[in-house]
Amino acid sequence: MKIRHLAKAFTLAATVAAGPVLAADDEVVIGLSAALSGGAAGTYAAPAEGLKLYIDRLNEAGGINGKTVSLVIYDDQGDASRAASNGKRFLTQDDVQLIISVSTSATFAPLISQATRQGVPILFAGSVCPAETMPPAEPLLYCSTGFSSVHDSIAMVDYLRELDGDATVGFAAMGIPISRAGMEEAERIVLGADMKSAGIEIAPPGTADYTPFATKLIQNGAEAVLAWSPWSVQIRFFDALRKQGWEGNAFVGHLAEAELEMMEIKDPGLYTVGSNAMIFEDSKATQDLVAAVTESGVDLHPEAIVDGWLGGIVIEEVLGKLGDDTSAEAINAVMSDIEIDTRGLRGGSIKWTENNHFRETIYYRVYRWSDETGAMEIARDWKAYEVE
Amino acid sequence: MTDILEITDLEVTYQRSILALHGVNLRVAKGQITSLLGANGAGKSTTLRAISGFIGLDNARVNAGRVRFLGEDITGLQLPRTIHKGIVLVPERDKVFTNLTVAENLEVVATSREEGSKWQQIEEEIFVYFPRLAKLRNKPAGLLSGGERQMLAIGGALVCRPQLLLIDELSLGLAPVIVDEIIERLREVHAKTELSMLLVEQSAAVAFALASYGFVLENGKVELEGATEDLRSNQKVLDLYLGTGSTGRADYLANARRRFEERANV
Amino acid sequence: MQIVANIIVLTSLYALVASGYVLVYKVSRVLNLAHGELMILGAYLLVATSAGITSDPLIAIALTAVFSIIVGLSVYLLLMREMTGQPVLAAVLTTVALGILLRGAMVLIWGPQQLNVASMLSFENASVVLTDSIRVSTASLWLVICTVVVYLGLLAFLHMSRWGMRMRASGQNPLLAAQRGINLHTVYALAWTLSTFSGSIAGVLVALDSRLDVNMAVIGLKAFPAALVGGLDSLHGALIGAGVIAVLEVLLIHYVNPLLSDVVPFLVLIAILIVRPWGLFGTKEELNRV
Repeated sequence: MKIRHLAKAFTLAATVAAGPVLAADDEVVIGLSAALSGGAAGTYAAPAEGLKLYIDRLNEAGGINGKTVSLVIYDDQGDASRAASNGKRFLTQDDVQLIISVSTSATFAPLISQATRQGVPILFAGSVCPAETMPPAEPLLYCSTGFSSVHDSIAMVDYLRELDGDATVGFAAMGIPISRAGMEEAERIVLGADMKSAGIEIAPPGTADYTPFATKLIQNGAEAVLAWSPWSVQIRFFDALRKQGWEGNAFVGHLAEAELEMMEIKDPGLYTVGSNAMIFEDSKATQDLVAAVTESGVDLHPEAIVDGWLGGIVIEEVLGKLGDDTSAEAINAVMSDIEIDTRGLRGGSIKWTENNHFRETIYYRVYRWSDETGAMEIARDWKAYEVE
Repeated sequence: MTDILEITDLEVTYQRSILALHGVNLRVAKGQITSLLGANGAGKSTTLRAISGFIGLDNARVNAGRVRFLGEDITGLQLPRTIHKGIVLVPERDKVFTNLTVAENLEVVATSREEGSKWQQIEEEIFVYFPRLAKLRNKPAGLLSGGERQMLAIGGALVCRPQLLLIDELSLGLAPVIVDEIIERLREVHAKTELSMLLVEQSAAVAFALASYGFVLENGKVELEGATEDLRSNQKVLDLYLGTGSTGRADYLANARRRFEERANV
Repeated sequence: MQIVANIIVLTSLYALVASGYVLVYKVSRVLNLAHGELMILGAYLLVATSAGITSDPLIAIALTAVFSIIVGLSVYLLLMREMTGQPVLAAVLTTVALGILLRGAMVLIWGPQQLNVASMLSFENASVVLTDSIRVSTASLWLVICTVVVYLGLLAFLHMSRWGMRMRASGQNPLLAAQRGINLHTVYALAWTLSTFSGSIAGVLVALDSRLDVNMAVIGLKAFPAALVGGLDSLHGALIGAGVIAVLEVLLIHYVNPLLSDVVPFLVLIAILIVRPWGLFGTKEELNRV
């Protein structure tokens, strides 16, 4: 375990040390700013690694259309100021044609302002999707990530209504804007559907003990709890509820850690709602992913890298459509009108248009642990939601 | 008569440059009480600290000269090794642990060799010397009066089983009646144990009441020495140090200077 | 009634962590700003022990306790001992550096992801029904018990044992302590060891109760107002300070706005620092003014 992480740290450090890369004509330079360390690394480091693995494999296979990708990786620790300096280096030193973000929402603003000024597109692949990518989308910003606070919330409430339309619903959020926005939207929908709310509990970052928050939800009569926040927070909320003997169902966002954790927790009342496939179902798509990880010899959990892997697929498809002009402008032109086959890792394709850089239709699946089979199961298969 | 302590040409500097002692020579005879007289700033406290050992914090060191204790060269020996040799100091200020009770102040003293019942016995011994302390056994030392603190400080030092007891300013700031009581107690201790002592004083009256021999320190040097009877008749000593009680000229000067220094320290 | 239980659990957590601040501050006037990291290191040591040495949870916890003692001792001997005689600020800054170093090292060794320590140890953190309306987790119950035991143990040690008295004495007057033959290095080493030990217990129990990641070092920061409100050199002050902060936090979460629970402890801290800078039970004259 120790050796693995040391090796990982050294690999990344070596990549970072490689520094500015001079782009050859047949080379596309892509900058990746990721939370490889720091508080949010638990969610974002693995997808970033997965994305790197995918790109490495592309290059080894001779690239796409004869073009290879030079991936410049900087760690931003999920921190805005570091993301800002990463952005500066990407744009002034490395002359990247595309930036990928796999990090916290706190890092978005500085990256976005710098990149849009220079006309370089940003792909959010593993970061939560910023509102700017949704219709009406701002130019240059695209998102392929499998979770999005507001859409996840809509799907969660929808599934909850299918399951138990009379439940009083409590909401657990973390004191960061994106999480609160998601839960406020969820509460709005719940109230709109004539269901009862037990209120939103917002835990500040760095909360030592989630028990008092859980107590309040229980005392407000929450029969079901919705949570959308970093995995470490939503799962501690859930732990705290269960510790007080609460027996309701909890619906949480499907983040990178979800599958591995759910297999450890083994609680059939814990549902994850998200748009990524899980590895356990052993489909052709997941088999390919697992095989690629095994073959690479990199010590990664396939369960945790799906979003990064999809980011790699997006890069592959975009470059596949790219002509001789590999400028940022040309890349943006391709991205603003493309339909990407998600190859079985999602419910359907990712379609970007001039006005919509999120996707026209988003497909959600619900997973949970099943006591009967002693394994993970799909609680409800893909369901399409139109993005308005 | 043998000397338990012998200091020759002792020089001490503070912070590498400030010379506090320039060649002090003095001796303490075994089993006797010796006094060291001098005004504030004459180097009395430094002399005592040089004997009892500096600690790293002091930023002071012995530059030249020798300190011999029981015939052994202990120049520059630091705390706590000096304690193990049997040299114990009663400091001028902050002489008790104010947050500890009287009994705890005695117990806390390092004597890993003294165990169990023997320990109790030592504590009782101190309460015999200073009956006033026995009544205050469970009182925090911070609530004691100046005189009680001095007794407790001497008691704490005695618990260390010294062969040489150094007392820095025995009478300073204490009411004459208390000073008399402490002098009386120290005489008893001395009569019973024949403990060698070096007594630093600004009041010659106090020094002469206890000591059989004395040294006068001025500007980091010993100016004068002699048996107490001889010093008592020395005109210079009479002028400078033998005021009436604690209101002598030297005391007055010293106190004025201290007040100035304390203000400057803030 | 559940609220009362929550307050007691949170008080225990803050008090146990705060005791570590107090022990080191009390004897050496050094504010150990790496205490949160040392606390989490204790939990990671449990992870390492259970993964590498033994799978028996009880033996693993016992070994972790031993390791935490070694860690505390090493921190003093290798690092803080060198700071003896230096200005207090230098020592405090050293602890800040130590904290950053430990944080980085822990991420490097154990990775950034959250670890489920309870399941690694096959410890079932079951919900314990105390009454109809009060339930706490097994780990929380242990937390309360450990805090009581640690505090009773520390108070007995400080007031009844010779070395405990020496620790109190050295904190009050280090020079006199040295002049009375008390070995200050032993006293300081003891304080760091005990502090790391009690911190590690807190770290282990918090990790068993929820999960473990490096960010949980922030709990050290949250226990800080508790230690300061009570008075940094007072153990029972820390207990009461922890109670004050926990009551405020839980009541704010329950009746006002949960987000205030993050801010108000520090507001209380500032208020106390203005009105009574030495804390509710601290020693007034010990304070070095700015």
